[in-house]
Amino acid sequence: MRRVILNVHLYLLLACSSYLIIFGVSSLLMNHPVDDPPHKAKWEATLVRGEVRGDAKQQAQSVADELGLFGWVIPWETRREADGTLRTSFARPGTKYALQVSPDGKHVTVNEERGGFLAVTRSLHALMRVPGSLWVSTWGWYTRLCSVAVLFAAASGVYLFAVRPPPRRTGWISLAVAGAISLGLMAWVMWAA
Amino acid sequence: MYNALRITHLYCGLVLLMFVVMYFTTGVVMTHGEMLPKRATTEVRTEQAISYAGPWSQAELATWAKDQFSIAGRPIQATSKADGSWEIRYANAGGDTRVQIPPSHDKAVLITRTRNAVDAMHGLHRLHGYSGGWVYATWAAMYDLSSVAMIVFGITGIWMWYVLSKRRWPGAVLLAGSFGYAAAMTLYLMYAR
Repeated sequence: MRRVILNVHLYLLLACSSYLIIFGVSSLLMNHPVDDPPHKAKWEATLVRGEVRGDAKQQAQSVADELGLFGWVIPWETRREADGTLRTSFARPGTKYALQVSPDGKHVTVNEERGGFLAVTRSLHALMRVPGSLWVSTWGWYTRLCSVAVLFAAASGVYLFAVRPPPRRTGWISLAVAGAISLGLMAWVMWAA
Repeated sequence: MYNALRITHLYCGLVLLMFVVMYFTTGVVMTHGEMLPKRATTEVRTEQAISYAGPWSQAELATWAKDQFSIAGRPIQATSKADGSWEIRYANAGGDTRVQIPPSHDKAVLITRTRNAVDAMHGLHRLHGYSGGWVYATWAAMYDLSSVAMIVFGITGIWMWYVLSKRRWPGAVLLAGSFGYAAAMTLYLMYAR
């Protein structure tokens, strides 16, 4: 039994080891934001479909699809100007695009802000589904696997410690004291602090 | 060396067990919370007469109001308007409170919202930053330690596997797959259009 649990603990977490490190680094970046200015670029494209739809969001999605972009239309940054120009923003993990589509729907100017390694690492934290990209959406399944793996590792780790030969007193005391402090702190920030 | 790694891996796990389990459990709730039943957020509104003689500055007023009304949560925003009214907002994982002081400065309206269990878990998971007093500083420190622990688990785990295993190829395959996948995803998000 111990051997089986040890092997599952070991090999499951080896399979998730890169994500553990990404979880750790991305969490630190959330608590300690680092100034990492994005790389900016501007480019233009001719739209073959040249659609002009009444609904600005639908047209924005259609333009993004034609440009081969994957991600999300940002609805609060999408609007049609009085002259018919469509302005929209499109975002995906690590990159944001500001699109300006001509009134006839045939020409688009794209201002791109591309994040570096830190921005992408941060965006991988618990990333689930991304519209328009099956490949990136696989990261959602890896997130689920690693989340379950860590919870299993916590339980199996305590089990593996418990079945080790004595002495184990220091370990149990550490677990009890740290556990009590942790739970107390959680209750405090939830209701009292 | 192996013993040092094992003790580091073990005690990181035992001491930070509750926080790691909390973050991964609340993380699962955040990514799959739509499947859980949610009660509505409750809101309570009260009015109290006040007599404040201190300086009308953000920091002083926020501290006074928190003590005066025994408000749970740390101050996150204190704004004054042109008409002389003030609004101070406090928040903790379980909810938030707004204190509104009208231009007459003779009363305070307290609007306290209590989150349902699912939203409270979101609140726990997203609690960042060292401001707000020693409780929140302790929480932020535990957050940072949990983040570092993820990295320590990954590195010490890999090292222990390498030292312990006689037959390394299964672990090597899993390790190569994990880091290869993460590297491919990172590079794709950094450079793909």
